[in-house]
Amino acid sequence: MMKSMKTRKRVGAIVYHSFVILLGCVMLYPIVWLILSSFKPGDQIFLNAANLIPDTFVLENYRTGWAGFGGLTFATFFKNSLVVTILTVIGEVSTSTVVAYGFARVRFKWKGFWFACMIVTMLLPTQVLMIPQYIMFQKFGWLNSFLPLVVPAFAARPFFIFLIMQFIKGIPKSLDESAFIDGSSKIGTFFHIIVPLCIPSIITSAIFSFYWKWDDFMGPLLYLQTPKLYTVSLALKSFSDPSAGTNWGSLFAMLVASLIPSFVIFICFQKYIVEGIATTGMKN
Amino acid sequence: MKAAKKKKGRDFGVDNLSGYLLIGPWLVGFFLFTLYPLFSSLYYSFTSYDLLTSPKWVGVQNYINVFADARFYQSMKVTFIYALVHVPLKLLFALGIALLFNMKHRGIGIYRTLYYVPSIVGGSIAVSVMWVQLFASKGPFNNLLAKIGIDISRNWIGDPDTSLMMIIILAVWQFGSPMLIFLAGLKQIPVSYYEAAEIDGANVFQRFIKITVPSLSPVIFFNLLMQIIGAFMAFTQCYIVSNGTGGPSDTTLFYALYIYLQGLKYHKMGFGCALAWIMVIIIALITLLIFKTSDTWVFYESDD
Amino acid sequence: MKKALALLCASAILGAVLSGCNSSSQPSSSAPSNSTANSSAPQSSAPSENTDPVSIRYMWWGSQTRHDQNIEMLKMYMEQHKNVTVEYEYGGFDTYWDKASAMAAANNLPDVWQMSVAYILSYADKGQLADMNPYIESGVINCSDWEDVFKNLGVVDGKNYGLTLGNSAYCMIYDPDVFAQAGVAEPTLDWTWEDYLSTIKTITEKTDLYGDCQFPSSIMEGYQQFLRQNGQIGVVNEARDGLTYKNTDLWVKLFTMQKEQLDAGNVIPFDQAVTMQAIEQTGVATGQSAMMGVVNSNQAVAAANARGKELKVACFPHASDETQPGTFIGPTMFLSMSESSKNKDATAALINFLLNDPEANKICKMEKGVPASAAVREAVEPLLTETGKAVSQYVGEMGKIAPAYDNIYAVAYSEVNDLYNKLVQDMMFGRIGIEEAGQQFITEADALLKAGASK
Repeated sequence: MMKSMKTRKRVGAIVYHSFVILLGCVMLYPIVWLILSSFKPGDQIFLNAANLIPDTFVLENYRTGWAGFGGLTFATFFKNSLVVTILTVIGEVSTSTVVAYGFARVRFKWKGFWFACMIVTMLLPTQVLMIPQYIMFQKFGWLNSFLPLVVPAFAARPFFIFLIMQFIKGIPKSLDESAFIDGSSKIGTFFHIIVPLCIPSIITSAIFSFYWKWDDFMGPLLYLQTPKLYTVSLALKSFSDPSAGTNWGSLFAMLVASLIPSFVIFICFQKYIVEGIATTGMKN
Repeated sequence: MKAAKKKKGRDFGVDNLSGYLLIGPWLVGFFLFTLYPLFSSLYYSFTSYDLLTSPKWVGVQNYINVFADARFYQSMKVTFIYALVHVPLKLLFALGIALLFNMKHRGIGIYRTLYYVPSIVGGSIAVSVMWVQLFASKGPFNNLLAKIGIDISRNWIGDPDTSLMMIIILAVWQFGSPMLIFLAGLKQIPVSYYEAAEIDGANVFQRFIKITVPSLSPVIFFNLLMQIIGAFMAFTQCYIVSNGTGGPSDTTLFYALYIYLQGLKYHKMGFGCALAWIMVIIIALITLLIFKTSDTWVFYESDD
Repeated sequence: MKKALALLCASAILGAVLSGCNSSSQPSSSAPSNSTANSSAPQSSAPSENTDPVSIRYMWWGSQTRHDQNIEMLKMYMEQHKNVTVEYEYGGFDTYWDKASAMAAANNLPDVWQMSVAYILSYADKGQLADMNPYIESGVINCSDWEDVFKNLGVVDGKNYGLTLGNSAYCMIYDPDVFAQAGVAEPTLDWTWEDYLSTIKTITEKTDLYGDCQFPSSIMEGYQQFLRQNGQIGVVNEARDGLTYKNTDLWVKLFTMQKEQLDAGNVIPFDQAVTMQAIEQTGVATGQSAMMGVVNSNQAVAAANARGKELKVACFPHASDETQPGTFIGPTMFLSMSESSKNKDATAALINFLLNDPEANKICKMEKGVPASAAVREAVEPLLTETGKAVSQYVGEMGKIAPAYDNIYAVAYSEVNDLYNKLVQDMMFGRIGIEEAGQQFITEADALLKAGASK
């Protein structure tokens, strides 16, 4: 009896791993192609596009790519991106959690109206908001600084508000009510009950917030003028010029390099999504 | 909104001060950063605005022009097909993978990370190069087909019959964000529910239907809504793959791309804003519909 | 937890503010134009003294090569003019115009910026660009060794809104080795459509490559040249408010030819060709075809770099009964000065340096096209690669037989161009008849041009 259970488990594990690995290979093929292409000599990227493995491995692309433009290296761009992105993550996640709590757990006048307003702000494409936003930030005198990129993050982000809200609503109200009866304030309930139970959604928001800001180039494109302030996403766009010729080698190499921070953030944070609830030991 | 309809008894009661303090950060930002651009774009939609000179009031002319424009209908068609095919595909895929990664197996952290990688490659032109190369006539995809005996020399992205499908696949391939949200949702389901069900003798499938789906419904609701909104606003993938043209033959002319072309590339911001507000109305109606139906299929712990 | 969070928020806000202040307090900062007005007013009121510190903003698009070269040129300039600080902004082409639109809307355009032939009319028409003729007349911008046609490429209604950064002529890039392998003669400057058609046929038969990557009419500049060699002045009429040619005969003739060549397999299948967006992806650069046409001659060097060998350039095939050649010389791109510039004199001096200084141009060689200045050409010529020399020679030869001409560009250019590309795709994929597409182009393009001009 025990033995057959064990073999059944083992067979299950084998099936599971083979399936995940096989699917993973298909899914990751393009990524592997992208990474390996960055090690091909610049002129081989298209000439030898069909070959996955480069004939000769070169680090040249990383050297020329990292050198950046006119003496300003990618070290500067990475530093700028990190500053902007980390501030944004802190801003968006902290304020969105608070606002989500407000929408999910407190009853106040006009709540439905404000919630609807929040949803509507998600429906307008950036393409039409871009021009008035630029004019607005110019009037604030914020152009050529990180302010237009970072300050709005401290006004929460509807996507995260809504996301965290859905998770707060999933927490039985009896939990915070009992805390409330025990004499805990709303703020106390928030920090002692809501935040710990929402860790998975908060971490998820942080991962997205990081990646989206890291990847965003429209904001940096519009608001940053001095190359010293350029972010990685903006610098990456500065490699290509269809009218003259593109430094594909440098572009591929720096694209691969630019993936590393988002990748590291994911590795560091993903385990909290998994452990979040399990370790807090939620009782019903 | 739902909570407001419930009887007061179980709630904290109306508390305007706390409520407004808590949503304060968003409210301040809304007035400071969002309201002006929002109303500007609405105003532009009633003007002729070339970005280089001041907007001139033209009334509803832009809206009349939109409904007489053949490319408007083409972009609507493309976007609706995209939304109808892409949203369910991506959600099912994301949920499936999330369930797979919610099991207890060795090395699952690595799998999770690797599966997420496609979602962080972003909208670089290099991604477009990669995708074009993958589905080129002598690309790896056709090679794979050849190995199983299907000989095709079609360039899947260049052919107007399949170009949209390739962008859908690219978007589904980047399924990481709904997957992560599902995973977070699955982790929030108390293990005790499953234990109780197991004792009652429910099988895997029954447990999925009876416990996982209802408990996950707030998250499914969220993902569904966000993916639909995202589908209507989809821009990056088709911009890079079609080089910002919506080609071949306008078969990948997404609505947001068309707004971009009219508003920024052709300098017809008034027309572009009219397109955008028509889209706002359409998505708002769809959103409202989903919200209305959510009463019947979304279950919140805090409601019962 | 609570304290930690509060602390985090506080430090984050502080950090954000600091980093913002930090950057905007740099001398560089080009704050909003209304406040710059005050700070830079002294310079513009005393233009004759060139020792006052001046700050000029310069914006361009390009790839890594151009950024490096331009920055080096600017360093050279600032070395020579200690009072001048040039603030530069660069980026890729595809997002450049989004940024320029936003800047124009906010009256915050840079003093001098790289301008495309596709957009110069839009910006000039709306009063965003400054007339540079006074500076040419006064000699601040010294065009004395420019041929007249080159001086006038950016002239609209008598005002000079753009000076060419380099010239080019549409050409076909080819790989001479493939021609040798197939035993066909390389194209001459007077080759005809018959020669072209038989050449690509032979190459396709004798080698395992396609004769051409894209048939010349795949881009609107191809149609433009076909119309010109058939007695029309071009696609857009002289007033730039409509089409020149409103018949479908030439349209049908040209695209019937393209369709036949596609069906015969002498050019790369259309579904493959439409995905080749960058010059490095085209058939001639990846070794799939013997030729690539029609492209801007400026792109030949990039194609050669991608192919890893020297390539040559040929001209657009001639019609046997043509009245004028189809090919024409045009600017690869312009430098334009903004009307909102507060330092026009200093800006004009910088423009002069960028266009006419032989030493400075040795840095960028002919990356932006063949320079208009004879002195610059002479200085740079010896430094070019084989392909570069071939291009320079080609543009020189074309200059003798083909007049400079840029009337393809009108306010609605980009929209007409998109319409053209879509119709070509519709026809080649068999989604619409050639005659029907021709009718559609005439009606719609004409209406777009009219609407663009009337604003």
